[in-house]
Amino acid sequence: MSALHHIAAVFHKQVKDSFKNRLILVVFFMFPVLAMVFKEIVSKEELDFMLPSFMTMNTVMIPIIFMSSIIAEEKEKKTLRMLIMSNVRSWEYLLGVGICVFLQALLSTCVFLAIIPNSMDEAIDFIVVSTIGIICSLLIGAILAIIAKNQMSVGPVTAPVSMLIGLLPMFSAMNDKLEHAAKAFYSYYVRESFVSHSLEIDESSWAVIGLNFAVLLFLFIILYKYKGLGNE
Amino acid sequence: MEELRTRAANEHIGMVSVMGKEPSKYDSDVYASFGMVLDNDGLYDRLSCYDNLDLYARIYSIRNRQNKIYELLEEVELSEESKKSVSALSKGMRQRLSFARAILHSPKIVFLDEPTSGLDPATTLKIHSLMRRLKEEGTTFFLTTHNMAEAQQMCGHIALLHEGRIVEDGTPEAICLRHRPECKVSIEMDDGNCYETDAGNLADLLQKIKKPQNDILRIHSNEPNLESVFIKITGRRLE
Repeated sequence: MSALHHIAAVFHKQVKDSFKNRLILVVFFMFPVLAMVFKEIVSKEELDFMLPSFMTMNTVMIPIIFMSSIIAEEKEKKTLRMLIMSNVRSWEYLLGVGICVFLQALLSTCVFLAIIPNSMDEAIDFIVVSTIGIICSLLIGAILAIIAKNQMSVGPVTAPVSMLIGLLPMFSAMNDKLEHAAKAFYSYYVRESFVSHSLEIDESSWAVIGLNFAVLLFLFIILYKYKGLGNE
Repeated sequence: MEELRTRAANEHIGMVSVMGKEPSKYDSDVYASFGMVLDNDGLYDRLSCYDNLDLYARIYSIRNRQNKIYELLEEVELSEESKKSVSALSKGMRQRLSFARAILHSPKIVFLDEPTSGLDPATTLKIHSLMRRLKEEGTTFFLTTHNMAEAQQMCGHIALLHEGRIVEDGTPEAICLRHRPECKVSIEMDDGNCYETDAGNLADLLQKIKKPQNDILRIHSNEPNLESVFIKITGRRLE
């Protein structure tokens, strides 16, 4: 019962803080706004290429940036230490923040549903694909946050990692060699699903997504077990 | 000491026990009986004073939390700032908010780490008067401070730490008595003359120097305070 109280308290705090956090607000609106602008200024063929890329970046990059920066900031400002000393366990904190970031990322991604006309089936597929992408990215964000000592040190790591995973699928569409590399990451299949407007990807693609998730989960568990949340 | 208590530090010699339980056996009831004001206040800068307290009121599942929070903000004289972001508060206000958070759930023990360090005298007085009131109501304070005058004024029992070891402990009066040198009394007259004697001979001296044309300006005793005791024991000044 107290665990639920703690998770709900952290979640509530995170929702309130998000409305006052400029980084979160800017990133939250960045890709949907860019998509809306591009919809007005580029041709349909160009938009068909760019929209899935924006959607992929939005789905994949937001959770990494939000999760890592929120936790790193709490470590630096010692607010996390105070929570832990008030009997909030690390996993309760992670879940409270994680649920909030998950909903924020999903909400931001769902803005795209208003931009592209979709059938109900396509919309459901879109949400399922987004959910898979967001969960994998949340794990990456949490891993980076555990490794980072403070907010200053998380930026130089988060930026290249989120850009690599978020932008690689788009560049892979222009270069065959890059496509081979991109196929190793879940973000490639997220983009493929957005391009095809469906979940109809082959079994080997699902296997790669599953493997990505398993590796990330394993890394997270190992790091969490040995480091906790770091400077708590 | 506080890190040991809260399980933040694991390497130590000896035993740590609060309310009869070792840190590894603390449950949520034990944690709920702690309040803390640490060196770094751990307040959320972007959130308002109210929201900062609201987070902990939710963590501790406090009933009627809205009323309780407003009562406390009133008590620490921050009710007008309740909707203000913490980043807009002065250091003294932050410290008062931090103190309000520590006592929000009516803890039995409050750990304070340098609670008045760098604060103006008015804020220090406010915090001290709150501490006194809570002490009277039965709250135990565990105060860590370099300010020996504050320790002497606020504490019922003191332990002096030097290089990680307790070098002296007891009530402030008992500690000072133990380290009292041969007690001397000096008397300064308004004509500039100064007399010194053992405390036992004070009455004789007063009789001797009694002159109708001169008044006593000051009487000093060389009773030690905690600071002089600390310097005597450790051989070094307080930092």
